Amino acid sequence: MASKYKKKINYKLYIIGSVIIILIIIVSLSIKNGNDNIASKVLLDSVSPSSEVITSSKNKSSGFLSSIFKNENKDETIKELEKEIQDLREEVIRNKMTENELSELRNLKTSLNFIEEEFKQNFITASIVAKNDGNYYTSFTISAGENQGVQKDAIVLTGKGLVGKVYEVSANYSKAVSILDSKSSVSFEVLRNTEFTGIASQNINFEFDSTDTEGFLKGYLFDISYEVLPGDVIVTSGLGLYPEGIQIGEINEVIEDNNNLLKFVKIKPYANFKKLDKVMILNPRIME
Amino acid sequence: MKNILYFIIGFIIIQISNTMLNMTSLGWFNIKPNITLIFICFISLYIGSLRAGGLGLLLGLILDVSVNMYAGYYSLLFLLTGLIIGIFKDKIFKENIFAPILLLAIASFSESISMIIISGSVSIGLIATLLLILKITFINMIFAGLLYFPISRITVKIENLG
Repeated sequence: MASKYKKKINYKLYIIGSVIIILIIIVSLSIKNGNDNIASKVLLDSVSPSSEVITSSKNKSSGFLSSIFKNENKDETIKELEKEIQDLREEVIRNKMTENELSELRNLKTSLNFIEEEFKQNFITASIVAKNDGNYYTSFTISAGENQGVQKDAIVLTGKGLVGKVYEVSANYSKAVSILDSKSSVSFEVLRNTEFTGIASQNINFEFDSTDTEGFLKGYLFDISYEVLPGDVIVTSGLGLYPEGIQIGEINEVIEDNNNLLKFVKIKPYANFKKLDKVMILNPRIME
Repeated sequence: MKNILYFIIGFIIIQISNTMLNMTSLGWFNIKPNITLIFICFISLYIGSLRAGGLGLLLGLILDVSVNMYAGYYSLLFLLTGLIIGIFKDKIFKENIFAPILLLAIASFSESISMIIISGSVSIGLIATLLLILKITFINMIFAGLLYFPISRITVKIENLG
C-alpha cells in the first residue's frame, strides 16, 4: 500500500518536473527567437476576441458616461486643440521634408545611379484590445493580423508619433511592444537639420545624469559635432525598414561622450503610452 | 467543478487587468499591481500545491498568450507560485493576514527579479531598478491587503460547495 502511494507521488513529481523543464525550454526559445509559432498564434486568436468585446464595451460606456456629464464642451475643446497641435506639427515636418528633399533632388539630378524607391504607404488602422502596461515593459494586442495585412516588424503609430513594433502576428490579431522596450533600433534625424542623424535604442549602455529616465528613449548621434539642443524634434530618417518623417519625440537632454566621440540624447516620445486606443500599422518595406 | 470556478474567476481577473486596469492611469507611482499573482498566491493557501499549480499553469498560459512578450513565462511563474505557496496550506494560520502577505511579497519580489533577468536589460540603472522592484512589491502588498479577505471568503465558499 505504502509503495503504491509512493509510486503515485513519484508519478506526479515526474509530470510536474517535465512540465517545468518544458516551460523553461519554451521561455528560453521565446527569448531567443520570439513567439513565432503556430500554437501561440492559434491561442492568441482564441483568447483575444473576449478582450476585444470588453474593450469595445468599455469604450462605448465611457463615451456614454462622458456624454452624460457636463464636461462635453471642455472635452471637445481639448480634443480640437490637440488635433490642431498635431496637424501643425505634421505640417512643419512636411514642409521641412519637402524643403530638404528638394535640395537633395537637385543634388541627385546629375547622378545616374539614382535608384527610385517604390514604397507604398499602406496604413492599417486598428484598435488596441488588450494591454500589458507592465512594470517592466508595455506590450499590447491589436485587432488586426495577417488577414488584414499586418506583417512582423511592422511599426505601430498614433497621430502623435511612433508607438512600437509588431513582434507576433496571428490570423486576426497581432502583438506589439512599445519603442521604450523594443530591443531594436530606430534611425532618426533631427528635424531642424536633417544632416544630424543618429540611432535611438534602449540597448545603449549609457546612463544619464538625471535619475528620471523612465518613459524616455535613449539615443546617440553619429557625430559629436552635431549641434542639437533640448526641444529639437526627432523623426525617423528613412534608413532601414521605416520611411522618413515619422515623429518620434523631442530631445530632453544632451550629453557629450568625449571618450567615444559620440553625443548621447535622451528623447521624450510624443506618443502617450497611457492612452492608446486606435493605432495605425505600417508594414516594413521589403529590402531587395 | 470547483477548479473550473477558480479558472473562470482567474480568467475574468486577467481580462479585467488587460482591458481596464492596464488602460487607465490607475496605479501609485505609476506601478500596476499584479492582481492575478495575488489571486493565485491566496487561493494556493486554501487549495494546496497540486491544484494551485495546475490552475496557475492554465491562467499563466492565458496571460502569456493574450499580451505577454515571452511565451511560457507566466505559465512557469504561476505554476511555481501555486506549487510553492500551496505547501503552506496547512502550515499557516489563515486568519492572520501577515503570513499570506509575506508570502505574496516573496512571490512578487521573485517575479520582478525573474522578469528583469528575462528581459535582459537594466536600462534604467541598477539603483532605479532596485527601487522599482521595491515599489512593485510594496504596491502588490497593499493590494494584497485589500484583496485577501474577499478572495479568502470566495475560496472558502467554493470549497464548501460539496
